[in-house]
Amino acid sequence: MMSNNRILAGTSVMIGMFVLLTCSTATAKYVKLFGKECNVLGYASQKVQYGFHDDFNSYEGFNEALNTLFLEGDIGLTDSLRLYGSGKLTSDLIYQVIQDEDQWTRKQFDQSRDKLNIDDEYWQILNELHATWVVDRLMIRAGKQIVSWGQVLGASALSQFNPFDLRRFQGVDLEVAQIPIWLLRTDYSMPVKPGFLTDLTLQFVFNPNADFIPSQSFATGNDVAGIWALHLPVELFPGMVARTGSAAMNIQEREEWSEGHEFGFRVQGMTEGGDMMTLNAFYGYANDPVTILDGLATMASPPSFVDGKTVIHPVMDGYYPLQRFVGFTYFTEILPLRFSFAGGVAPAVTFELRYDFENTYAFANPADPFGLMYMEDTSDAVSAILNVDYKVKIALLNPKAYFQFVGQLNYDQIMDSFVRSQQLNFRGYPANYTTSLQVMTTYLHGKLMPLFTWQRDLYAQTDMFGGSLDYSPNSRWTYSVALQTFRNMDGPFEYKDYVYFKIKYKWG
Amino acid sequence: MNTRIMSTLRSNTNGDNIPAVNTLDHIDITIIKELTMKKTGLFIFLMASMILFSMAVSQSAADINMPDVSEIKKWKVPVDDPKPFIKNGFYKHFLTPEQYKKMTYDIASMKQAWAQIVGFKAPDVVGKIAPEIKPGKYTYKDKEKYPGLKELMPPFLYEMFDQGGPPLAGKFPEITIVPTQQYYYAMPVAEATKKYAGQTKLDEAGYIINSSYNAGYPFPRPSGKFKGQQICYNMQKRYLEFESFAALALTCSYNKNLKPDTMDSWAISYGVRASGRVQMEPFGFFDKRAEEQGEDIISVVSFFAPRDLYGNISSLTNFISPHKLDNSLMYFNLLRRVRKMTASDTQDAFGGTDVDSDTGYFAGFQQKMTPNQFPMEYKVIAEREYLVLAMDFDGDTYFDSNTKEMHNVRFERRPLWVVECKELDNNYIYSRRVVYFDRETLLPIGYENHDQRGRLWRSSAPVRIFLPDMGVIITGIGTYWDNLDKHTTIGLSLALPIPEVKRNDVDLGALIRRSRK
Repeated sequence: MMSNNRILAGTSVMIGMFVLLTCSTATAKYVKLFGKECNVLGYASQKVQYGFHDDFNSYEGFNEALNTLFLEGDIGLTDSLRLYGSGKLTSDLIYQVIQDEDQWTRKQFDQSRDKLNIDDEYWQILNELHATWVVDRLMIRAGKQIVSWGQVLGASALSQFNPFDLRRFQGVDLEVAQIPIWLLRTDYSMPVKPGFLTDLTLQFVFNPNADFIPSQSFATGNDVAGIWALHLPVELFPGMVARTGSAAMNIQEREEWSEGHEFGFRVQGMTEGGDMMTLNAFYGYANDPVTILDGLATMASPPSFVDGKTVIHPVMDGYYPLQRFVGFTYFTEILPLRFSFAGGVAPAVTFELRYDFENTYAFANPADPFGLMYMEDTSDAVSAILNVDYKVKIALLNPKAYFQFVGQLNYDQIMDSFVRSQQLNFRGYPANYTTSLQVMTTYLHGKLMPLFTWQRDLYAQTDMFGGSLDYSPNSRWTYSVALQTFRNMDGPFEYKDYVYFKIKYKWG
Repeated sequence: MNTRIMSTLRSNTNGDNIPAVNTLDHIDITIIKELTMKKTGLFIFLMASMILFSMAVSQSAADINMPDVSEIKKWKVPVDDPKPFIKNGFYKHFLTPEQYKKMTYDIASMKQAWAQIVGFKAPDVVGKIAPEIKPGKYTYKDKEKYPGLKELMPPFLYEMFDQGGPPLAGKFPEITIVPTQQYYYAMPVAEATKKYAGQTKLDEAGYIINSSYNAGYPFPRPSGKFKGQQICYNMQKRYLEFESFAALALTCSYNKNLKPDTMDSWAISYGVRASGRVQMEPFGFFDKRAEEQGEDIISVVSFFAPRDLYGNISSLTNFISPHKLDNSLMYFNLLRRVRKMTASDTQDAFGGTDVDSDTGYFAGFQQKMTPNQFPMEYKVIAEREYLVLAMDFDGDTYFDSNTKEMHNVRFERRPLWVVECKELDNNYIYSRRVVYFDRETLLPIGYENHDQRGRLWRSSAPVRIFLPDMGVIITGIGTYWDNLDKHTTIGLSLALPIPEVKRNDVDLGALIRRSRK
C-alpha cells in the first residue's frame, strides 16, 4: 500500500490539475508542451449508490460513494511519433461516510477498506502510457495500453490481453473496466492483398510480462470484497448451511520478463462487399487463476452475529494456466431485412468464434464424497457470439430518433465430456447459453438517453435487469440514474439490487 | 464484461468454486514492488530508446504535412473572431509558392470559360424582382420599410433576418447587400465540364448511368423531364473545396435558451475525391482501387473534442453507384477497435448537432439517389432570383457569442433553382426537402427539410468562401437550425489542399494508425 503522504500528494496533484483545467482558459483547448501541441482532457465523477437488501453479504442503504478523477492527454512529438498517457484516481468515500455504522461493521464491510477505499496501486493510478510510432503503413505502439479484439458492441470473447476490474461490479466506467498492461503492438497494412479483399491489416502483439497484473475479479468475503462479496451459501450437511467468507489465496505467478510471455496475431480484412472479418491467434495465459481447494478454516466469529450461520474461509491454491486459442469474426449487413417501415436501416450481424486448445479446469474430485479433494484436467473449449445491431424507427414512441436494439447470444461449450460433467456446477453445463438485449434511444436532441438491458442465462435461469437514464444538458455535464436488479435464484448476486445516482463533469 | 458477470452468476450453492481475490495479499508486497519498479523501469527505458530512435528518423518518416491546429486557429475560429483570414493570406501562408501557383489560374479566363458553360453571368440575369432593393446596409428594422425584402428572400432566411434572441442562434440583425458577382470554377473543372458536356446520361427513371460520367459537372445546363434530378446530381458530383484535403472542423451548438450545449467541438478530417479528379494529381480516379470499386469520395475524421468524442475516428467511402451502399467504419475509443457501421443508418442527426448524414455538412443534399430505398420525386418548383447569403471573399463572417448573432454577413441577388425532393415513402424522416441551388455555381445555398407532418424541421444557410484566384469554393461558416427542437449548430471548416494524401491515409489501416489510444 502507498503511504498516506503519497496518497495525499497524488490526490493533491490530481485535484490541482482538475482545478487548473476546469477554471482556466485552457479548458476545452490544448496546451503547448515543449513547443508541441498537447491535448488534455478528462472527467470527474461522483456516484452514490443505494442498496435495497439487508442480508449477510448486502447492505441496505447508501453503500457506495465512488468517485473517479480521470486525466488523459496526447502529444505529437514529431509527425510520426505520439505519446498518450492517462491517469486516474478512484476512491469510494463510503468508507469515510459510514465507517462506524453498526450494520456496516458487524458485517465486516469496514474491513474491506484497504481493498476498495482508494485504488492506490501504481497501475491503477497510471492507467495508460504509450508511445506510437507511425511510418507509412506501419504502426508500432509500446507501453501500458489496451489491445482489444473482436467486433461485437461490448466485451468480446476474443479480448484476452487485458485483465478486467470487476471488483465493483459495473460500478466503474466502462472505459476504465479494462486494465491496461505493458504491451508491444505492431499493425501493418498490406499493400498487396487477395482480390476479394479491399483492405488487409496485420497485427502482432507481444506481452513481455513486464509486470503481471491479473483480473480483479469478483470475490467472497465482506472483509475483502465489500458490498460486492459474492453470496455463496454452502450446504455443509443436510440442513446446515454455511456462509462463504474470504478465501486465503495462494496463487503462483510467473516470473516477470523471463516467463509468462504472451503472443497474439490478427489478420483483419474487408471484402469488396463491405463485410469485415478477422482471424485471430493467441498464445498466453489466463487472466484469472485456476484454483484448487487446499483446506477449510471455519470461523464463527464476528460474521456469525449477523445470522448465526457458520462462515467458512477456504484456502485456495492456484495458478494462471496456459491459454491458446484461435478466433474468427465476421461482420455483415443483412440488406434484405432493411425495411423502410422500420426506418430503412439494415441489421448488422456480427459473429465471433473462439476455439481454445486444452484449457485447464479445476473441480472437486468425483471420487471424494465430501467434495474436498480437488483435481484438474484439460479440455478444448469453444465460445461463440452472435450479435445483432438493429436500429428501428418507432415513430409513436420517438419520431425524431431511432431505437437501437442490440441482441446477443453467447454459447460456451467444454468439449471433453468428463471435464464437462464435472463442471456442471459452474461453467460447464452441457452447453451454456447466455442472451442479452439492450435497447436505447435519445430524446431532447440527444440529451436524454434511456437504456434498458436484460441478460439471461438460459440454463441456470438467472436474469439481470438494468435500466438507466442519462441526461447531458451539455457536453460537460452528465447526470445519471440507474437501477439494477438480479433474479439470481440464491446465486452470487442475490440481494445485490441497487439504484445509483451519478454526476460527471468532463473537460477537453 | 457482462459475459464474465453472467458466468459468475452461474456459480451455485455448492461452493466448489471460489473466485479469486487479489493475489498480492499473501505475498511480500515490498519485494514485489521493488522488483516491479526495477523491471518497469527497464521497460520504460526501452520505450524511451524507441522514442529517441524514432525522433532521429522522423524526418524521413513524415506523415501528412498538416499544420498544427493551434497554428490554423490563429487565423480563424467561428466564434467571436472577425479576422478576415482569407484576406490576411491564409492560403498563401500555408501553401508553398509552388503549390499556390499550381492552384491558381487567370481570373478572366476562368470567368469566360464558366460563363460559356452555364450560358450566362449571374449579374446579367438578376435585378428584376423588387428592384428597389439596392446594394447597401440594411437592418432587420428595414423589413417593414422594404416589403420587397420578403419577396426576395427565401422564407427561412427572411425569418433569420432579425435581431438575436431565443430560440434560435445565428440570426443576422444587419446585412450588407452587395452587387451580384460572377462566380466560376478553376480552369480544369471548366475544361472537364466542357469536354464531357452532354455525355452523362440518365436511365429511363432519371437515375445516373455511372459509366457515362467522367469528370466535371455532369449537367451544367439541366433541362427536360429530369431537370430536378440533374440539379441534384450536380451537387453529388460537386467540386467543393479541394480534391485532396485536410480540414479542421470547429463546431459549437446552442439550445433554445441560447445556452451552449456543445462547446468547442473540433475534428480533423482527411479526404479525397476518388473519381473525376481534374485539379490535383492523380487525375481521373484516385487509384486502381477507386476505379475498380467505383469510389466517389473518401474521408476520415478524427474527433478531438468534446471529451466524449475524443479518440473516435470515423471513415466514410461514398460509391458512385446508387445501388452500392456507402462503406462506414468507426474506431471507437471506448472499445479500442474498429467496427464496421451500418451504412444504411443515415437519418439520425450526428450526436448533438442539427445535421444528418443524408443532408451533410455541405448544407444541402447527400441522400443516396436510388429507386430502391426511400425514392424521391424531384421537381423544380421555382427558377428565379433570390436575395441570399453571398459568398465571403475575406473570411470575416463570425458568430458573436454575446448576442448569438452572425455578423459581417453579406447578401446578394442570385439566380436560383428551387428543387423540391418529395419523399415517396412516408417512413422516411422527412416528407420533403426544399433545396435552393445556385444556377451559376450549381451548389446549394440552403435547404428546408420538413418532417412527416409538414413542419419545417431542419434548415441551413452556409456562408461559403470563394477563392477568386483559385476558382475554388470552400464550406466556410455554416449555421444549422432545428426548428422543432429550437436548436442551433454553428460550424466552420478550414480546409487546405494536401497533395500528399495517399490511400494509406484514408483506408482501414488509417483508422488504426490515427488512433490516439
